Amino acid sequence: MRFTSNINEDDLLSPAVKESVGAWAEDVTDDSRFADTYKAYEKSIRLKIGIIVGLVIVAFLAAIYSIQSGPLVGGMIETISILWQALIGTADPSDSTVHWTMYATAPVLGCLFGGAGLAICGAIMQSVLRNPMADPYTTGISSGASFGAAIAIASGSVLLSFPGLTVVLAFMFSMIPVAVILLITKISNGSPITIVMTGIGIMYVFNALTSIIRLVAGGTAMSALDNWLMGDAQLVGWDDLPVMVIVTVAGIILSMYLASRINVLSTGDENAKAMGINADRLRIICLIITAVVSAGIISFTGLIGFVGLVCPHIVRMFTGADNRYLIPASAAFGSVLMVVAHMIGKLVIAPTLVPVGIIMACVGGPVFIWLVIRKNSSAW
Amino acid sequence: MTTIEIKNVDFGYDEEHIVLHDINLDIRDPGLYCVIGPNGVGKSTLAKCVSKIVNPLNGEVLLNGQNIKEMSHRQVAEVVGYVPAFSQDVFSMSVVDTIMIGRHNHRRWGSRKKDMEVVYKAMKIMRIMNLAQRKFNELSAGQHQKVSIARGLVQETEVLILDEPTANLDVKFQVYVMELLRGVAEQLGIIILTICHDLNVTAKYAHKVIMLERPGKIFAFGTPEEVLTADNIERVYGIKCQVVEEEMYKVPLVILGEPIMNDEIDGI
Repeated sequence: MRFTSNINEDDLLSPAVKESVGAWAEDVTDDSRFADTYKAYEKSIRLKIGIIVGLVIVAFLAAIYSIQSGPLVGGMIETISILWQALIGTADPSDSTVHWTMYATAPVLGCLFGGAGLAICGAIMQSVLRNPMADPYTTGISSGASFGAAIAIASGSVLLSFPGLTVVLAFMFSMIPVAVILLITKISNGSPITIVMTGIGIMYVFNALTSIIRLVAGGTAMSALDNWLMGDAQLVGWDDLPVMVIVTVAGIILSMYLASRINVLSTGDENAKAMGINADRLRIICLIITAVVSAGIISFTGLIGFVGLVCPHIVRMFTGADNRYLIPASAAFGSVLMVVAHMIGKLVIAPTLVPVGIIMACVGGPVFIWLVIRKNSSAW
Repeated sequence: MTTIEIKNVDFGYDEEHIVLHDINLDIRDPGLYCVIGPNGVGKSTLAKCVSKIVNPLNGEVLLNGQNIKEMSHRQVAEVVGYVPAFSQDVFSMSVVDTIMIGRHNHRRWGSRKKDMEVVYKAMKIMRIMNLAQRKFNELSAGQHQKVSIARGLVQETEVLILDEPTANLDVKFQVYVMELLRGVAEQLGIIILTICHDLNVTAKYAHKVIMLERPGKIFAFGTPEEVLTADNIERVYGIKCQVVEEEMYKVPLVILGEPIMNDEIDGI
C-alpha cells in the first residue's frame, strides 16, 4: 500500500485532501460562488476600463478648455468647431480666430501627448525595475536626453538645420543612462536604492555638462536654451508634433502589447524566467522604449519632471498594479495633469506664461513628498 | 510521460564557488519528490537548474529527452512550473490577479472565464477564497505561501517545482499542503519536486527522497525508508537521531537527538 500511485488507494491521504484534489477535475461553471467571484472580477475590470475612458474624456475636455482659455480665441463651442474643421481640412487659416486657435492648440497637443508619453515611461520603468522611485527623470534618462538636445539647440542653425537631429541626439544620450542602469541591474542586482542613487549621479553629470554648453553657447543660443531647459510646452509648434505624437502613440501601443509580460516581470526575474519570459531581454526592450519616448518628448518640451514619477503612483491607487490597465490609465492621467499644469501656467500670472515644467515641479514636489511619507501605502 | 534527466551537472555562480558537483538524477515516474539537505547545500539551485532559471556550467538537463539549453524559456515554462521560496511584489495586485499571473502561458483572447475557473479552484483548494480581493502585500507570510502555491497549481504543468512550500505555514497546513501535493501528483500523474526541511513530513508523504550532502552532491536517492536512515541523517546533517517505524501509518519517524557541531562546516 505504501507506494501506490493511485490516489484512491492511498491510505496516507486524508478524506479532505482527496476531496480537494477531486474538486480539481470538477466543473465549477454552475457553482454559484464561482459565478459571484467571476462577476466581481468582471466588474473590477469594467471599473478599470471605465476609469481609463473617463480619464481620456477628461483629458480631451481639459485640452479644449485650455485652448479656448487663451486670448483672441472663441468660446468652447467655437473652438471645437474650428478644431473639427481643421481636422477635416475646411478651416480658413486667414481668419484671425482660426489662426489664434491653431496657435494655441499646438502647445496643448504637446501637453496632451507629452504628458501621456512621460507617464507611460514612468509606469513601465517602475514595474520593470520594480522600483517605486523610477521614472525618466530620477534615472537620468531625461538629463541624458536633454543634454543631447541641448547640443543641437546651442549650435543654433548649424545642427538645427538637419530636421530630426535634436531627437536623434537626445535619444543617443538618453541611452547612456539606460546602459548604466542595465549594467548595475546586472552587476549589483540593482536594488531600488542603487538605481536611483546612480540615476541622481548621472543627472548631476549631464546637468553640469548642459550648463557648460549653455555657457559656451552664449547670446541668443543661450536664451533659447534657457527657455527650453525650464520645460516649456509653449515651445511646441506644429512642426514638432508629428514626432511627439508618433513616439507617444507607438510607445503606448507597444507597452500595452507587452503589458501582461511586464506584469510577470514585475513579480521578479526568477519568477519571470520560470514563467517563460526572457527577463533580461524584456527589460532592455522596455528601457529602450522609455528612452525613445522620453527623448522624443523632451527634445521639444525640455526637461519636465514628476509627470512620470507621480502619475503611475496616483493611478495605481485606483486601477491597481496590473500594467494592462495601469499603462493606459497613466497615459490619460499624464495628459490631464500636463494640460492642466499648462493651463494654470497660462492663467496664474497672465499675461506672463509660466512654463509647464515649473508648475509641474511646484505641484509635483509636494505630491512626491506626500507619497514618500505615505510609506505604508498599499500602492507600493 | 514526462521525464527529467540530469546528467553530470555542475553549477556555480562563478568558477571558484561551485555549488553543485556532478549531479545525476533520473526522474521518470510521476509522484512527489522531496529534496532534502542542510542549509546552503544547493537545493534551490538544483531546482533552478531544472526550470532554466540558471544554466549549469557543465552537464545537461534533459526534459522529455530534450536539452533545456536548446529550449526557450517559454518552451521550458510550458512543461515546468516553479514557485519560488519567497516572493514579495513591489507593487502588489489583488490575490486573484496575482494567481492569474500563473495563467500567463494559457491566456488567450477570450479565455478569461476558463482561466478564472482554474484560479477559483486553486483558491478553493488552498482555502483562500476569503482573500480573493485582498492585496498580496497585505497578507501574512503563511497566506503569501498559500497564494504562491495556488499560483503554481494554476500553471497546470507536467512538472511543478516548489521551493519550500511549507515554510511559514502552521502545522495543519504543512501537513495539508504536503498531502495535497502528493494527491495532486497521483491524481494528475505529474512530477512534483519540492524542497523540504521537515524530515517527518517528508518521510510520510514523499514518494521519493533526494538527499543532498555538502558540498552540493547527491548523497542518496530513493524511497523514504531507503534514504531516511539514522546513519544517513547523522552523516548529512550532523545530528544524532533515531529512526523508528511510526505505528499508525507504518512510515519512518525521525526522532532527533543532539547536534554534532563542527566548527569547520558550521562556519566558525
